[in-house]
Amino acid sequence: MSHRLRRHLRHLIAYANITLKEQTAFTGWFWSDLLGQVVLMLLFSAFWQAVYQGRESLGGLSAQQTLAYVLVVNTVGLVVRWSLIWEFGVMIRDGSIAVELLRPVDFQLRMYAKMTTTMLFTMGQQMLLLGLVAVLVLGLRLPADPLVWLSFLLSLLVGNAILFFFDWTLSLVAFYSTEVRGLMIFRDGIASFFSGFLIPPAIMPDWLQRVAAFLPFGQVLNSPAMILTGIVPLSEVPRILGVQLLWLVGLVLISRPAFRVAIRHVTVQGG
Amino acid sequence: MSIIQVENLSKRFRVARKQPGLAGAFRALIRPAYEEKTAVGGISFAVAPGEIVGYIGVNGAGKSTTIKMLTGILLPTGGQVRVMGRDPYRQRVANARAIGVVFGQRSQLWWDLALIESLDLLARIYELPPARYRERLALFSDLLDLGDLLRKPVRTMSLGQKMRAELAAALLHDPRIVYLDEPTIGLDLVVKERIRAFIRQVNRESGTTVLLTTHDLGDIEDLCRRVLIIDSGSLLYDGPLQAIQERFGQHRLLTCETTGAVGTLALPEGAELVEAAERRLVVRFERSRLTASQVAQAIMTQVDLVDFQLREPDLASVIRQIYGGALASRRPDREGAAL
Repeated sequence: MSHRLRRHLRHLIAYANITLKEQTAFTGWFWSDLLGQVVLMLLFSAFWQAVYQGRESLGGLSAQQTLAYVLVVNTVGLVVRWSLIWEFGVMIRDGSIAVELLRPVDFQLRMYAKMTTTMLFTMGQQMLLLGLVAVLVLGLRLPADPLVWLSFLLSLLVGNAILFFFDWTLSLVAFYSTEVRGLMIFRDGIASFFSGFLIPPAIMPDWLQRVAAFLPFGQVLNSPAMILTGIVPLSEVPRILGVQLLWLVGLVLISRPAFRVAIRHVTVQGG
Repeated sequence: MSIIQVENLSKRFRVARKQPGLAGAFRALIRPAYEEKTAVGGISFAVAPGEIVGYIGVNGAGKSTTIKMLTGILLPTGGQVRVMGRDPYRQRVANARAIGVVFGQRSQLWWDLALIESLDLLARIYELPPARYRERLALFSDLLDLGDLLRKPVRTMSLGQKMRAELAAALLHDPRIVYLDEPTIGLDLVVKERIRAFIRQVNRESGTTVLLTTHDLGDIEDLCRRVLIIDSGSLLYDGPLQAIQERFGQHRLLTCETTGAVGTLALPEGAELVEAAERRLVVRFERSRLTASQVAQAIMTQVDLVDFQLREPDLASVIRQIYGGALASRRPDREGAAL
């Protein structure tokens, strides 16, 4: 391993470590957020049961498959709900970006460590509780094959990275306009829809499915959910992961030069 | 050989110009108007290794913008910066390894965690060997009295404690240059003293170069032999502190208590009456032309004096004169200045 890579890895671990310590310092919002998620899951489940009333299948998915899909995306939905855009906006507005740029650390790596650790930590806790509700109350049946679980977790992690690099590129708008709220609402709406959080893409009309294929959001949530629910067989997993990796590499390649251009516009408000 | 070399450095910002009111806000939304603002307009200076240089100016003069360009956060619009031979913007990460920065109004510590957690992280990022880290920690615990603070969450610290913590964080990796942007802002005298002593010691023992931005002239008098004065983005003065004090501190003030009201007062050439109240007179005179006793004698022949007090010029009044334009009008006879 090269010296540079080792250094990056050490920085990644150091920042992941301090983010975890920081996360354990707050617990208040966790419970209110979780309660909201449980309510949403119950509503989604009731809604889709009503949609399937008197139908065998929809868009090639059976009622059971759709329900399982909905419960899975609701359990791990945090992966599309977290927002780097807001973090960026805050850092630029309050000038704390200055302090971040003073560190001898790759800034993107540092933010990846922070955002992903926060997301995984919160999601890990939520997954346990939401998963319990899904399994015990709503009758979700989970696969027993460890290979399916491994593929799911890998796909989720790559999906998270895809969204990180996509959000990163989008967040750079904050360097030009310090207002990011509008951008965040736009991104959240589009992402909720096209990731599969609201509707499984398989049920969408053809033209919408084609639009979805040009966006990265399906890679973030739909791909891992399709794997865990068994809607796609294990034999399809290498292809799904391959597509995800292509998205990831493409976005990494775009996001880094984009940052170098955008950072020229940093003004750093105030003293 | 300079450790910091700045040549003709400038920074212009494009700022949105909005008309006031709701209509103005909408107009700006549809057709935004911009204007260029020059924060730093072509300054040049050099700093030698081990120097402590005071960088002063009123709010908005361009101090912080300069520091941000020296640290590599901001891309200069024009000119050149070299810090230890590097371009700090293009080689930001490499530059960051060799510098330390304290922004008096901005924390670099993890707010909700104990101080030691932030220091542990910094030690890992700056790749301090464990033995060296322990050594630095022991040194700072002693010099900055960090002992009990190490286990304390930063958000629960007082302003003075926080600043000591910030200094420890900025100097942990023994940087060759440290930029201190208003490190004593809002602090009481005891803490100020402690921080000044710390900066002096670090400079003396490690040869750390210090660029100090401050509004506290006590910091400057205590620490700096050389000052840079910036106003509206231009460097007004670069030279020894002593020279500026001697040149602009030429007025002394004589305050007299009198037995009764004073009518007209004839004063010798070089002295002027600046305040005349019921039983009080304040006379300003040039030290190069008159002595205090000459002025006092001239007054005593005209009024009965009960008491009098002589005030020497302090740095604050000198700086006030400079900000007020005294230096600009005297530029031709500047001395020791590499303007």
